[in-house]
Amino acid sequence: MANPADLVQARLEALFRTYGAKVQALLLTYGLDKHGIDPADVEQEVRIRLWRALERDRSGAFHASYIQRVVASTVIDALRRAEVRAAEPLPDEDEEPGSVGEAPVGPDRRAGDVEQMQGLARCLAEIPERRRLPITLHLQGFALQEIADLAGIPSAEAARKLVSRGLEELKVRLRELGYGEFDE
Amino acid sequence: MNWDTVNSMNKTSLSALYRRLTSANTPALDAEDIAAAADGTLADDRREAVAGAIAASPVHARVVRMLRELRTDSEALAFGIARTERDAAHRRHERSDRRIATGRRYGQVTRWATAMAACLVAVVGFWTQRHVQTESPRAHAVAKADRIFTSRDTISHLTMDGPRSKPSVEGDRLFRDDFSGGG
Repeated sequence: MANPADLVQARLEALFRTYGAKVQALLLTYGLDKHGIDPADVEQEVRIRLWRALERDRSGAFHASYIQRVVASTVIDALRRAEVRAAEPLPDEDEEPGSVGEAPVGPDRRAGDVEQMQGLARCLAEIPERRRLPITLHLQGFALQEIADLAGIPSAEAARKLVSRGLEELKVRLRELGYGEFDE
Repeated sequence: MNWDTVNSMNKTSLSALYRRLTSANTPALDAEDIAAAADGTLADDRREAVAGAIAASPVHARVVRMLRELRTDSEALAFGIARTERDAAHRRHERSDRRIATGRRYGQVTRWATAMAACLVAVVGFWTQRHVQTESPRAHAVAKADRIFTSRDTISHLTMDGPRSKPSVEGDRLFRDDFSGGG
């Protein structure tokens, strides 16, 4: 008959293995492997840190928020290490998580992009702070509920209105300054 | 077409442009802030700074979005660990209870054995006392015999000496009486 302590150990290991696999999959889904970190290393580090925390205090409650902090600190540490040793430029940020990369950008388009980026930065700076944050979060890919949570907006609907008005304002301003049409 | 669909068409170019604009930004955000942002538990006094930094950094934005998606799995892991530890603790308690029950049974046997031993000692003690009592009349008999012998000695002494001395005393007394009567 197996030792009860071994059974507990085996069950915990299975739980950590499943969780680690999910962490690794999400790191790849969100393209964080393109920032110089190895998802397998991060996953292993997360598991080690969680094991240590569990062994430090077996009787202590292990909250989800604590686990989230362990993952966050592991990923941030890995990103900082990658940043320190990075000799190559960061990968192109155009890709959505899990999407296929865009075609290579030519010199003409690159020059146009720089001009448009400067225009975008200028127009964003002109938008009032209250609307700027929801817009920039939206442009970074956050969903409306996520924007509401992050920016402290009462509801997703309120966030939608702020983003909608802000984007309209941004597009109009970009058009007025001659940076072209972004709504078509 | 709804609002999201329309905007997703526009957003793509604007989003791409904005992410290129902010790609070099790596704000110094700590893990606590990022985890709090992902959980929607940012403190009010940190909200603007942290949310602004996340909005200005595609990498941090990705980490936050990843953590938000991971939240359910983190809750499942926390629940799984708690359940495993609770089951282990329950088994430990069961083993401990069994040990206590065994100890109690052993204690009862011990008490019973002690009582039996006490009874045995009492019986042996009682028997020994009785045995001593049954043997003591013989000893008395010996002593009495000695006393009888002594009394016999006395009797014999009396029979040997008494009659012989008594008449002599009476004889003396009579002899003396005779003297006084005659005188």
